[in-house]
Amino acid sequence: MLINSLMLFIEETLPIFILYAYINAWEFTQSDRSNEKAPPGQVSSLQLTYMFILGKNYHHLMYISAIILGLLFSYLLTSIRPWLGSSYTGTGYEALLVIMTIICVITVVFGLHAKGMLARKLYFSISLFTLILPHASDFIVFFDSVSKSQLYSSITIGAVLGLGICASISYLLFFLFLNLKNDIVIKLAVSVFLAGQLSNVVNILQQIDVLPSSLPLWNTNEIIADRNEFGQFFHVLFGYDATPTLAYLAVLILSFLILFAFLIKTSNSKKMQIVDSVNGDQL
Amino acid sequence: MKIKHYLKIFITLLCGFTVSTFASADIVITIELRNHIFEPNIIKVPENTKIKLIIKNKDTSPEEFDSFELNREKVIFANSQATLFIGPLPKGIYHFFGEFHPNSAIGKVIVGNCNPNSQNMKEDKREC
Repeated sequence: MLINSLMLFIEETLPIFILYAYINAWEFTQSDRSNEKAPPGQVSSLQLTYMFILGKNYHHLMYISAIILGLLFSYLLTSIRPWLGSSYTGTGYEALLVIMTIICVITVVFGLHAKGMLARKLYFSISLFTLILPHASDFIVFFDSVSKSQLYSSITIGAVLGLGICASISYLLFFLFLNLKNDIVIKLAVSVFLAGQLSNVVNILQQIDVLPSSLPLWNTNEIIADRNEFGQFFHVLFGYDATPTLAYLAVLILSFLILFAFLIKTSNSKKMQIVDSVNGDQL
Repeated sequence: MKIKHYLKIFITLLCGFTVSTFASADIVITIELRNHIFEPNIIKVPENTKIKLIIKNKDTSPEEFDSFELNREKVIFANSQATLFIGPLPKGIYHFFGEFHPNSAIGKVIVGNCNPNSQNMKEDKREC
């Protein structure tokens, strides 16, 4: 039960931690550029940890509030899930999952594009909230199911270990992106991550027969199995699937290309605006 | 304006993929979960066929039907049932398990080249 709860906790919380790392890295690079503070390499690890958790001047309190709110609302969602699961001929919960995934992706993109700090934080907070809701609800259902067998200690240890692993991965990603000092890399990573999240929608829709399922294009389970740690990690990071269908692959590639092109295009237009305003001031 | 333009393209593409087909499954199979054990735990189905899987949870606790090989994941609450679709699949063995009780709730879908009788294709618990 310890291994099971650990794996389940990682599966449910890793996407949240990875998104949190990307948001923080983006937030840091943006505020760092506008304020012309010390580059990431010159910041001590203690300061970096502080910024990872709370941001500069406690700016991340909005994100932490969104996470707490997401956890609270996930209890509400869990209580109505039996009803949702039986509504709309058993497709109610899947429909909600699809809507929440789309909202999450759109708000992250809007957040990356937002000019004002408040708007950016608001968009990112909504994305965190919508990502936490279903994942936290899944873990609550798991806890409710296995707690009847009196295995609290195993579940708690598994959850604590999982939390540590996810927080470490998140912090390492945050640290890596800060030191790369390149917006494009973050945009690439975010686009891949969001494309992975969107491609999950295909599996959900195929599961409820809204999208026609097809034979998998290939099977790489012998190289990296979906069920092992790397398979799960890569699935969260860039939507890896050992047996992808054509629809899954099409959504993954198309959404990645569209998201990445959109983020690059908007950053170029932003730079043009800055150049124009500087030229205007000089004249 | 540009954001709206890209958003329109994105939503249109997404809607294109989510157009409902409403095609019915060729075979309906019902499995029950009692004492955290799937009954039956071996399901035999023909290849390249879509299957409607009805899972009835007779236990007092929820369970999550999970299969990495089938790319399926669905929570079935206590004393309720859930429906999901699998396939079409090529020949092979596809394992599934109850994520909350993976030691006892285990099973597999065996996809072979059997030819089910068309008259009985939509019967519950169809095996071939």
